[in-house]
Amino acid sequence: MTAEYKALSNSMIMWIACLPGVAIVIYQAYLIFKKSKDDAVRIGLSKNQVSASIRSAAITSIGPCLVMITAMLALMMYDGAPFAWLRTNFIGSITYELQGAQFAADGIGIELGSAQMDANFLATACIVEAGGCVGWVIFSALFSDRMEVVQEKLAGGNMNAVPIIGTGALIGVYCSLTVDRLIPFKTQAFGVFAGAIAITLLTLWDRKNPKQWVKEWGLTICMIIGMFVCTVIDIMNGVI
Amino acid sequence: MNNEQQNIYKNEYLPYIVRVGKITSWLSLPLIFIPALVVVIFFGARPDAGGVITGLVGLCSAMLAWYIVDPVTLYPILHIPGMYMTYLCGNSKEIRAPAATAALSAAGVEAGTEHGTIVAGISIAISIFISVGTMTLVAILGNAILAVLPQTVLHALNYLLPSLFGTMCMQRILLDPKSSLIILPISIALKFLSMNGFFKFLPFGGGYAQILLCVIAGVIVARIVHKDKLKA
Repeated sequence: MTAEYKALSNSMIMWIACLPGVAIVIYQAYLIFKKSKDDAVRIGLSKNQVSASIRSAAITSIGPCLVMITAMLALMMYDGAPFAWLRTNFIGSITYELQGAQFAADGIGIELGSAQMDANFLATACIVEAGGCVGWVIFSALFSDRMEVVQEKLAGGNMNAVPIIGTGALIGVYCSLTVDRLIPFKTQAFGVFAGAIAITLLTLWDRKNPKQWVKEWGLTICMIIGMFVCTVIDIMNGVI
Repeated sequence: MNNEQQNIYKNEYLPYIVRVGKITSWLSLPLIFIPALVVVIFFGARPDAGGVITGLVGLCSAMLAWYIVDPVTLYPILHIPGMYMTYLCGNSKEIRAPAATAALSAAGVEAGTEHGTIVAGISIAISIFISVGTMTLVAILGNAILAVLPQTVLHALNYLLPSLFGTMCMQRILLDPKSSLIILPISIALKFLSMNGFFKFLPFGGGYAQILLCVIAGVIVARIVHKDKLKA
């Protein structure tokens, strides 16, 4: 990127322009968190259950957030820090956002990351990346409180089918995401297997000796085991 | 839950969540286009309409199936409060669903119940505070962070998502092994078909076909395997 583009895309006015989008995400989460926490005890949850939820959610969130760091730095090179900050916090998905930047560049016929990036590219990227995520916000705004109806329609009117459909669909999604990491077979496949074996052993052990820390830390421990196994393999192969 | 608690949940909690969720979601739509407006007004940008439309058509077509598949499949875990927050903040499968899953397990409540709904609300809000905080730090500190982290740690981060997906996939398998042992080979077959360009004839290149067909296969298989529960 040129010095001029860097100054433009990282200017104070861009930070101010991006602030409202991030602020509404935080504000919505704050309102829902406060209401949920206040009403949790009123409807019969214990304070321990609430604390356990908060703790486990925080622990489980940290790892995937760290993954986003290196990809976010790439996005910052194309969109500047302020807009990358907005994009990763507003219907953010790192893979989606990098695709969005690519589609914007392709749309106006320039090479992403090159000196061709200018104010016109930034405006195009701002519109394309924001516009592409509107579908999710609209679906959620329209149907979040009517998902039972949506699911019933998809289940052909049989409410007994709804949880079965949900389970099947979830298995399908995670099988597809996992298979993408297995084929073609590379080092990351060992991470998939290591994580899968670790959670199997933890789950079987937890069924016999239920422990609270397993439920709170289980996902994170298995992720770390998978990462560790892959890193050791790369060290042994001289990759790092 | 007793009648009073049911009353609080149905007549106080849910209406509040729906009101907040709808208002903030609709309000957010114009806000995310402010940066584009600023670049045009203050930096004199004149984006080419054809370029914008080409970019939008490309991106939206790639994401089209996801606008519906993603919320429908994750709703059982996220439920109403989680849906509004997740489809405003994002990272549904990577951060929100795992955070909600871990919280439901830690609190010992089932997804989709009244207690599970409130736990989902609490946990996803927490995950949003963490992710927004992290991304804010990264945006401000940028490259300084990369310079501090050891190379081995940075390298290991490349393997976090595969490990996470393998873990979550196995959790699903352990919950329903009969369906999973049929769906998994189907997913592998669909992957091979996708890799060999079998779906390229579909509109917009068919990049969405693999995951969409995996979801459809998952639904059909689960209905067949659990057909006795459908009649109950």
